[in-house]
Amino acid sequence: MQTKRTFGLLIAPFVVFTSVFFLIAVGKTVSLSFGYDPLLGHHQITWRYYQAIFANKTFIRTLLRTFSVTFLSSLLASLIGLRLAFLIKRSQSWGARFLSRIANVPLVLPHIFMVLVFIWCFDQTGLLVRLIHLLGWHQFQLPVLIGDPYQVGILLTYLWKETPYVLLTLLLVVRQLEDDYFLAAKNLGANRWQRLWYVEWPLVQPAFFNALIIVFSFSFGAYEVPALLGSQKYELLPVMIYDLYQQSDLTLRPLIMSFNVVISVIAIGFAGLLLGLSWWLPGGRRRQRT
Amino acid sequence: MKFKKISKVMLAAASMLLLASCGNQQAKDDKAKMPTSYQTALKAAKGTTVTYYGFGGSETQNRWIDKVVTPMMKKKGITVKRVPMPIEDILNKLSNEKEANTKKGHMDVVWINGENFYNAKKLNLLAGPITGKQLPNMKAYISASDPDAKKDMDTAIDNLEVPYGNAQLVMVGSKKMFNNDYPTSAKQLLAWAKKNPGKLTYVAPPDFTGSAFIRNIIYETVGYQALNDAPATKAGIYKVIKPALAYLNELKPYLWQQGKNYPKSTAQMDKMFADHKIAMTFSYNQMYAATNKADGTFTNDAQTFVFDKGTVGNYNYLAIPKTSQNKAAAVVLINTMLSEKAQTDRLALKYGAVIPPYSSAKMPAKMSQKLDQIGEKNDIPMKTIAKKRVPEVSGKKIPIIEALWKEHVLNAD
Repeated sequence: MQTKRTFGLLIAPFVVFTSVFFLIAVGKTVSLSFGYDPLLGHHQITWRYYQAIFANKTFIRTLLRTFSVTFLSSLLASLIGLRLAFLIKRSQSWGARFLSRIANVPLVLPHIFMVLVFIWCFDQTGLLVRLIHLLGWHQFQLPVLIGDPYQVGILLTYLWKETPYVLLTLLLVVRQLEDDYFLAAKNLGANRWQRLWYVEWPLVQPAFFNALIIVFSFSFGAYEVPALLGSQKYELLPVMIYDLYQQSDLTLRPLIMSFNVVISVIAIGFAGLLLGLSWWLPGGRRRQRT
Repeated sequence: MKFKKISKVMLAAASMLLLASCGNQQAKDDKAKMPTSYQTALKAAKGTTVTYYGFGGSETQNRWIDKVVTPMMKKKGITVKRVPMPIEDILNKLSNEKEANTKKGHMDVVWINGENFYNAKKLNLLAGPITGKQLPNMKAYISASDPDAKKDMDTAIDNLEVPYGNAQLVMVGSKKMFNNDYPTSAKQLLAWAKKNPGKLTYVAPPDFTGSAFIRNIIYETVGYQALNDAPATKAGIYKVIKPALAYLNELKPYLWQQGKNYPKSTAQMDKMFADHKIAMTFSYNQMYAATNKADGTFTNDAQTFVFDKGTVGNYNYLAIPKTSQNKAAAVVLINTMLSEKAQTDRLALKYGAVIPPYSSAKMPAKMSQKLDQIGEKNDIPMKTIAKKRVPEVSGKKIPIIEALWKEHVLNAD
């Protein structure tokens, strides 16, 4: 108890400090989104900006596009990360150990660095094309991966960056798994799918969903990757909102803030949905209680 | 126990700061007020530090401030602190300060133009009046009747900002690719694009320069006057610029990547031009080709040209925020940046060869000579470019035009 209290006291300044600034920022965003802007002398509360957002077809299309791209990339990264975690756990080889070490590298590198590496390598006149031309294949043409309509560049960059993150978080959980459960199930005649679904999945799924939520919430609101690799024509929400903000038209601020509120609510809502799913699935808290 | 020690030290430091600030209160009040003359400003500013906030992305302009202006100020006993910051962030900071009712800010001089000036003026963020009374160099070289000393992108200046540099859009073409025959009108540009598909592009708005290029195309197709007379509403502007949007759509399939993608920054466009992937780039700096040839980015293949009907020109301005705590030194800094020495040095290629904001009638003879000299390096006389100058439209209209471009050109199909 004593240690707990001291700990609480010690972190109190940090908690108070950050929560004050965080709450003020959130409060200001929300109040601005309802049109309350004392700077411009607007004191009336209005739903107008939210109505404008949902009447805006471009916004709806951009929202769906952003959601699909980020959800797809997060889901793929999580699934690949999960698979790799199991592979590394089971394999005792030198290669597997090396892979789990090297997975740390993309984790510490910032996104912007990954983007630059991507452009360097996969641009139409990038390293890869130059190398292949050097080797004598002059007709070789790389498909457009930067600013392409299907957002392949963004998807690949997120995969490259997020898969190692998922791998490392899940590896910790997977390594804790007792082989005994698995062997017992096998002994009792469970087939591969049964072992996966009833034994392994329930043990790792809470960690899997946590990783998925973190990766998704991050990439849903991230600016730099879509700004540098995305197509202007098929832009993603964070880029659209930031461009509006940079117009330095102060009358746009309530609209921009309501955009921010909407994407935050969607990200939080979706995270809640995933948590609920994890709770309901085998291995979730719901099952543990009964 | 370590914690206690730290807090003691901090307490001591805080009380010392408090004491120090009490002692200086009188001097602080003096320099925080807008000086009435240059002499009083100079006296109050001696021994102080002045901050300059402005766009930090131009290497040549940073160098000019650091290597020319800062030493000149040092001689007057004033230290200059240059803080690179985009103007949007500066405005957001200033308006937050205002919202929080803060009277004391950290910005003394800011680089501002056009739509941002319009917003800053509307929010009452700028200190004034700054006139020839405080700025002898403004009195000497800039006549108050100059259109750009009276209005900034159609917003009345009302002595709230001071011009300090002159900018005009110029095209830079590849001699080889254009075969020395440059498209000096939108019509010729389209004809060339049709014959040479995939060899042209322009940086996409909201990039500042790309936005200027689109305005220039509007001037070419419907004329400056029509756009200037149009009401600043989406419907009003759309009605007027429809032919220009149609032109850009006609050009689109002949652009790099069939106009499905555009360069995202002028840096990217310049690189494509340097690699001969595209035949033309453009810039807001009249001497852009010459400065880039000097540092080896472009080869001698780069040639400056302008449209026959003219290209958009505007000025860069300096202003003092209301919250500045050192308005005296701010005035001295602005006057120094306007001085003949600073402006003449700035004409060197390594400082970007920025054309001074001086009125042509008040231009010192030495400077006119220098302008002719650097024009030779640019393969086109400065006077020729200056003659082809068309004004900017109201800053309010620029975001509307950008939005219309996005809707009707970028997302047309």
